[in-house]
Amino acid sequence: MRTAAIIIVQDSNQSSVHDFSGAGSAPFGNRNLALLDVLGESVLNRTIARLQRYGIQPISVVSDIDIAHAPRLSWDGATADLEYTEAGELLASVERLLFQYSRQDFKALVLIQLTAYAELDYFDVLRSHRDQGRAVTTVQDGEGPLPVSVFNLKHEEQCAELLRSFWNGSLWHRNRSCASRYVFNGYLNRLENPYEFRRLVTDALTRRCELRPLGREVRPRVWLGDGARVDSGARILAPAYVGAHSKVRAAALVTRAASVERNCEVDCGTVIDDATVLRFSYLGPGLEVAHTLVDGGRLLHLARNLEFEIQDRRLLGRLRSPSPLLRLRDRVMARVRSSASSDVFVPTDSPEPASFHTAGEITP
Amino acid sequence: MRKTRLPVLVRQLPQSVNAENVRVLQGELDSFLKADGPRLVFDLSQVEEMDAAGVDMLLRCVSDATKRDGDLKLAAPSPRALVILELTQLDRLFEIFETPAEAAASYGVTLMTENSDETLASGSSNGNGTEPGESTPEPQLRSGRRSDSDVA
Repeated sequence: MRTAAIIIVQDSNQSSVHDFSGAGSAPFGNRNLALLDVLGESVLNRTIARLQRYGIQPISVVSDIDIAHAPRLSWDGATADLEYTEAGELLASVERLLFQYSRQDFKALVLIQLTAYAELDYFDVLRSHRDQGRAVTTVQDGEGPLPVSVFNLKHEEQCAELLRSFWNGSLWHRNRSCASRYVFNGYLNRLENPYEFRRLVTDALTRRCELRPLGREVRPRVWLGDGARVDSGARILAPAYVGAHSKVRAAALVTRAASVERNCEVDCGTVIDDATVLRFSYLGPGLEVAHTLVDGGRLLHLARNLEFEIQDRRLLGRLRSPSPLLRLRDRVMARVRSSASSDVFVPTDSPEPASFHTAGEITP
Repeated sequence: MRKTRLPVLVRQLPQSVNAENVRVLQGELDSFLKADGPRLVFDLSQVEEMDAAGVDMLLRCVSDATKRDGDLKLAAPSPRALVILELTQLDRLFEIFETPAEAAASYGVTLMTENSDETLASGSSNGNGTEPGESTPEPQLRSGRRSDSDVA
């Protein structure tokens, strides 16, 4: 069955648009957490990779966030078409794409509103959709509906009406006879708040889900991204992740499912314990970052439910945003990775304990 | 013969403990810290921001105080102040109490209230003090470097 996909990435709070492009940081609660890196790759990119793995192509991403031009978001333009639109025009854009795919003789359309991480078996979802023979199949788990549905593109006018019902949440109220349900029992994280975002990181590092860190597993459950540099005097205790081009300096400690995303710097003696440090963050020397999400100078203490910004680069800070050249390199690397069979879902098993501390040593 | 000690100085820190405020605060405390056995309590209940200069000031004050056989204790940290203390690991260095009264009591001094004529710890550098009392209540919030569990 020829199947296309549309992923809708919506920013409910427009302030976070500025967050991704500017120097400041919006509160974590105002962000679409599916756009933040989880162990090297965003949920958006991982969802695209998953759809491709199930042979669903082409994939269009419709968003009111300028993902392609936001320096701190990773976007691989090779894997999907991106359409940036005004917030009020999202439905119209999706409708237009739906008609376009229908005319190109696609039989089904997977529509995903990207607000969650779900390890769906799309073969099974599409089989269920075909077997039930309804115009639309919605996915749900024990707690309620997921933002994933499959539309039958045979009758585009009916699809458009169902799409509008789906959009405003009245599908089951108004079009019950046209819809069927697929019950999902796999791993799901709704990413509704930063706590769930952090849980996704720990679940991945402790192998409770399929999500795998992007990088090499240099020791059991210790992953390093490309170009990550760990000083010989630093300690990385499993499970832990240090992302691409990040530096962990002498006497630093990364432990208890802590993750340091790409292009970060952890200065001497700093402890990262059960915490996630987002891209381009600098952590000054001698700190103890525990039970926390850090993005530049913004800090969310998960245990105390307290979020604030520290305006002192000697403690926490934002490293320089990537240059266009660096972003180009990242895209090329992502393209090379995707062409050389995706390693996102397959755990790497190339432990190199002997070289772990020496190869990554930072020269003074 | 018992030697008269300086009073316990209880000082409420401002909302923002940054480089600008630190200079003023340091100037105010200098003479007190140069005396013998200075005993200070910083009330952090109003502190919402603290930068590296604020951290430096705390370290400098406790260093100056202990050099002269005194001490600096922290009291009533706001949630943000507490997170900053933990982030910078100062929570391990200082004794932290839930209230300034408890911090003062740990020096053996009772904070003066309107109806009390017992002993006093001043809100500025002009207070009068007394000798330590016999009973010293346990700190409620946290006991930093003096804690047995930390030593263990």
